[in-house]
Amino acid sequence: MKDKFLLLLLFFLLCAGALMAQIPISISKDRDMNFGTIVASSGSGTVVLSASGSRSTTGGIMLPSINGTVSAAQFTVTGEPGFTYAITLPTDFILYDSGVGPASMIVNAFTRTPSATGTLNLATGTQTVLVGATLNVSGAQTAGSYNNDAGFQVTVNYN
Amino acid sequence: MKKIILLTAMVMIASTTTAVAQSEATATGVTNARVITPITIAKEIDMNFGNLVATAGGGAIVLLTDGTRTGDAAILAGTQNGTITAAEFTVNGETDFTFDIALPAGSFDVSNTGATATMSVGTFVSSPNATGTLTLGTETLLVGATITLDANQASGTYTNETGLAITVNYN
Repeated sequence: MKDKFLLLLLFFLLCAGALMAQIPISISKDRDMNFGTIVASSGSGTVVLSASGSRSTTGGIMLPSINGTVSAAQFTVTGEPGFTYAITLPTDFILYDSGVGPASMIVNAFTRTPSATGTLNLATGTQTVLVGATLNVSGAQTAGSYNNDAGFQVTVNYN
Repeated sequence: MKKIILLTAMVMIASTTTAVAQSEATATGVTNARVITPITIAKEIDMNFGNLVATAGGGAIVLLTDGTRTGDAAILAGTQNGTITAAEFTVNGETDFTFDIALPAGSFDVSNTGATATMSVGTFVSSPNATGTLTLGTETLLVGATITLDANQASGTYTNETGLAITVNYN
C-alpha cells in the first residue's frame, strides 16, 4: 500500500512537472524610449519615432542637429523556444514637463517590431521587441525635459 | 487513499494556477523628450555706412563686422564720417545650441529721397560666420556688407528699410 502510494505520488508529481516545464514568458526592459531634442518653432505637429529609432516630423516641428538621446524602447522577451506570443501596447500615454507638469505632451500611435505576433528564437528562447511611438507637440509647447516615471506598459502573452 | 487524491488535487491546482500566471508578463518603458526654446532674432543696431564722398570714378566700400570701413581713400576722405555701424542682432534660444545664419544671398539697393538714385549693397559678411552658438542662451550677431558707388553718385541720404533680412535656424 505504501509503495503504491509513493508510485502514485511520483506519477502525479511528474505530471505536475510536465505542466510546469513550459518556460514562463518574461519581458525585461533594455532601453527607454527617447524622443531626443525637439523645437516647436512654427506651430504644432508631431515627432514620429520609428521602432528602428529614427525620427521624422509633421507640422511645425523642427529637429536640431544637437539630437540628445534618440532611441526606440527595447525589450527582451524570454520564454519557451519556438513559442509565439502577442504583444499589447497602450493606446496613449502622457509625458509631463519635469515629470510633474503642468505642461504635457501625449504619446500615442505606438508601433513595434515584430509588428503583430512575436516568435521566440528556437535556440535561445528570446526575442528583442522594439517599440516606437508618436509624440504630439503643441505650437507653444513649454521648453523643458518631459518624462513620466510611471512609464508605459508592454505586456506579452503566449498565444 | 483519500489522502492521495487530496494531495494530487492540490498539486494539480497549484500547477494549473502557476501555468496561467506564467503565460503573461509585463514590462515598463520610461519615455523622455526634450523641448527646447524656439530661436529668435532681434535687431539692435542698423547698418550704417556713414558719410561717403562721391567721386568721378565711384567704387566699392567694405563695411566690416567690427564697424570699420575699407576701400577707396577718396570715397572715405575727411573726418566727418557720420554714424558708422555694422548691423547688430541678438539671437536668443536654448543654451549651448548652435544655429545657421542665412544672410541675403544677392544684393539690394538703397535709394535716396525720391528714389532718383540708388546704390547697391551686397557681399554680406557676418560675425560669427555661417554658424553661431548660443552660449548662455544668447549670441550677438554682427553683419557687414559692401556698398558700391556709381561714378559721380548723386548726393543724398540713401536708405532701405527692409532689405537686410537675416534668418537664423537651429542646425
